[in-house]
Amino acid sequence: MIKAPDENLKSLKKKIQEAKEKIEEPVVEAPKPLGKIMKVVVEIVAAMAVGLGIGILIDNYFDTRPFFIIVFFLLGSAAGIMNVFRVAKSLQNH
Amino acid sequence: MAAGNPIDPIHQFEISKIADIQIGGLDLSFTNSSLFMVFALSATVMLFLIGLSRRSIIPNRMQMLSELSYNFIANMLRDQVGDQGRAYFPFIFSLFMFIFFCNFIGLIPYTFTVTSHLIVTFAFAGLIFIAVTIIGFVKNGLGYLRIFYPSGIPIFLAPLIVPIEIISYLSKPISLSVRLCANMLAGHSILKIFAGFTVMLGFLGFAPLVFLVVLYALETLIAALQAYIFTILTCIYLNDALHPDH
Repeated sequence: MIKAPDENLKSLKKKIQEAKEKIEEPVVEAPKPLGKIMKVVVEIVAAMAVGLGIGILIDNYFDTRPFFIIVFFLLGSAAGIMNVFRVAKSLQNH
Repeated sequence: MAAGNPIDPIHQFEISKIADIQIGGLDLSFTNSSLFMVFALSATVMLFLIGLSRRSIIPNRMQMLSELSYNFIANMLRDQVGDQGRAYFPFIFSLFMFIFFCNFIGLIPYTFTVTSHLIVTFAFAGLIFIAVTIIGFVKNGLGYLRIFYPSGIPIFLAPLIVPIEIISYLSKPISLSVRLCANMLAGHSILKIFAGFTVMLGFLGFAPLVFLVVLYALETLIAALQAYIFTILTCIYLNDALHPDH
């Protein structure tokens, strides 16, 4: 049987709202863990490699091996951790 | 396939000369890598030639694809860099399309993945790094050096912070290129190894085959994702060069 028009509209409104809620929920962006992990790991390794490279270059130039290798490797590790910190911060903003 | 060992996951990355060209002691041979770069380039050009030839109000699929890719990069550039980034759109867009097609063409069996070679990706990243550094100095003058000394840091910490910031800056092209290359190299090797299992196991090979199908879907995702990550990081570096204060 046909219900009263008011009731019919109300139930339709309810249905529309329910459908809308269903659609809007998954819009929240799902994180991409694979890309994130790869990004972070590479960031640390690259900074360490650069630090080590600079250390080796300076040591070869001044003949002070291994002093600058140690110093710049530590600095490179710090830079890597800083990079990761920045990536994490930028990922949080997006 | 290699002659000796039928299952050789590294063989697909070998470079072979197609036409031997030597100019002034330089080896400028046309290799399979060059060939697939040409393929990627022609795929990009074809997409836009065919897609935009009709220019109808109701677009067909090819036109949709070309317009979507344009919008995608234009929006990314606007979000990351702002209106100042418009001047760099042609470069960013070409970069994205080229890497995207290199990654995708490499997924087809018996093809060569250009981006699986570190020297290719490092050439890109190195070029971007040099360009961004020059842009930074041109736009900001010597004030660009402030990125190595963030504001609000006590002066006695400067000898520690400045080298760290410089190393962090120099590590950008390395992390950019290694990320793309490692993803491509690892993904394609794994695909080949599992394909080898399928051959070796005979009838039981259907188990790795199922896994291979799933893995292939994942590789397709990674191919697109890595092109996207490479491009968006280029945008972020460009933004750092244009607005060093942020």
